[in-house]
Amino acid sequence: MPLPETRALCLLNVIYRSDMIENLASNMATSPAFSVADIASSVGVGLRAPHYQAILAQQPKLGFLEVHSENFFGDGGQPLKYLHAFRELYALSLHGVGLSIGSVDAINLNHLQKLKRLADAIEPALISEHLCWVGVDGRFVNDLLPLPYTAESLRHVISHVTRVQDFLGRRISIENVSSYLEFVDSDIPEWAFIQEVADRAGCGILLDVNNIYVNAMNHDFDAKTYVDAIKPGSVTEIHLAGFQDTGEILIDTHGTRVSNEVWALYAYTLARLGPVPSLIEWDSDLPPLDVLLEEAKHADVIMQQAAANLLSSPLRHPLQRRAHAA
Amino acid sequence: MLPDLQSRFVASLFANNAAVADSTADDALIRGGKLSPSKRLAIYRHNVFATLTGALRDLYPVTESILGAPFFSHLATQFICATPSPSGDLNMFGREWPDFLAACAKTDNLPYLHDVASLEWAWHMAFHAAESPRFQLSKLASVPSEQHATLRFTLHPSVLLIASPFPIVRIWEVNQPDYVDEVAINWEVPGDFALVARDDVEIKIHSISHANFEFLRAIQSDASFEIAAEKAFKVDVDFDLQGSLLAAIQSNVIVDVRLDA
Repeated sequence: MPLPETRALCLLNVIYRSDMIENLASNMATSPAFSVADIASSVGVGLRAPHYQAILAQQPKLGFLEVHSENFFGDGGQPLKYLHAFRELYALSLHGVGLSIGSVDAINLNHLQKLKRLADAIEPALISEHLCWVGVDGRFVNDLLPLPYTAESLRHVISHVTRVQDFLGRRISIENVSSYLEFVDSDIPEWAFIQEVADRAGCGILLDVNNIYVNAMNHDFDAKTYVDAIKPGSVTEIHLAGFQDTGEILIDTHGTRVSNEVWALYAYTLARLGPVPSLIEWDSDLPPLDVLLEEAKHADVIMQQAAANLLSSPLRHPLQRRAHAA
Repeated sequence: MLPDLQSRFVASLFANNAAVADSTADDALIRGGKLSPSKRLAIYRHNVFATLTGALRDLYPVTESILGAPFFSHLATQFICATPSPSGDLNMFGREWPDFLAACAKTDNLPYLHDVASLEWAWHMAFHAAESPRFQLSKLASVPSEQHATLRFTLHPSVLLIASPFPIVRIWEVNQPDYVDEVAINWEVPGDFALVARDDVEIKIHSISHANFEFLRAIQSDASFEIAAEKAFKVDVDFDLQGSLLAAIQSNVIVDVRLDA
């Protein structure tokens, strides 16, 4: 049945006179860009949806917030609206879990494009990924799988990190992962492997002190040996989280407070590296925000102490020279 | 070599029966020590299945409520083995769940499950869909009335339309965690024409009339205003075209209009 013209006209008049529809103001202006230097010697927390309202209401004093990049890969909607709101208040760090840098599969271009779109939109202070693989042959397992630490893996990871940095047009950092097994093929210590990747790909290291401790216990090495092998200039961020001890093995659950042993290793690490932006990560059994803020405060105390020790030391630390040069 | 190692590792993770998985193959790949290679692999297997099952649970809470948690987990495990996750972005996982349920003989007594699960996936799609500015009425002002029939409206990118012979919107509604009213479902009704749409950040699921469904579906397939109206009147001669168009604009379901040259 064709639409009578008069009916359509009348209809449009009704709509046009209607003043019930408001235009949505687009106020998506982005705050000035933050850089790594801006968040230096500051402590942040991992931003998870159940804490959105509490953080917006309290606006706690934090150096930065870190999110999982993939949670904001959508085209629009609530996640991105929140992220832009947080971006108005804080420096942000994008922490990816799905790029699968260690996989023999080619880096997924679609994934990379979404990361670039997100980075262009929110101008994060840091972009990081994991030293791991997440799938192979097009099949993803969505878990952070460790690599065999070999010359072959090394060539492979360096070429993928280079590819990602070239595509994004900026430096990224890669994080050491916790692991529950070692491959028979591995013939390079993990600490030498990650430092070599940083040196040859020109990327930063996101040093997860909890993961170092977990791996030291699980694979029977001295955690300090790991820290000692890392060059101060390579580390762009430190992660702190809690693990669970099953009695047989330590599982990196991100579901408890940071352990005393890991706090001690953190202090040891900062004494060596100088102050580094540090993050409290909590992903399972999420407590109220206040618990994360208490942990962040604890990290801040250790960081201030490390900074004070550094200043009183007669020898200037290389990090200080860099900070002045920047 | 690395390609071979990675392929074998993933194959071990998804080996149909973990208990009889080839432990000698694990030994060749993984160091033992305090724990056997198979036990170490089992930690990863547990993590992978927990993550993917958790993702399905987040996506399909109504399906889980209907099936019950244990049966849901059981089917989720089968689904995970049968359906590779296509991306490192977990939000891309789970699209095939409705079809999996439809093909699964164990859920034959729940014929509406596929359509209810489709509604949940539509909700997920709407949640992440692109933004759109609201309808600008000024665009209509410049169109001469004799050309109104050829107008083409645009729906919000989040809009999804699902027709089902079952009352899926009602089933979805009574299975919401905050739902407190009468839970009885009238199975005599002819089914639902569901409209899923996001207005600002709120996702709405409505049961709409058949005529309104045909109207919006025609617009979604880029039909002219005249053709879309015809489709609706074909189903219901008393279709309230004016009211439906106005409501669709006010609720941000229709967001734009253009006049093809």
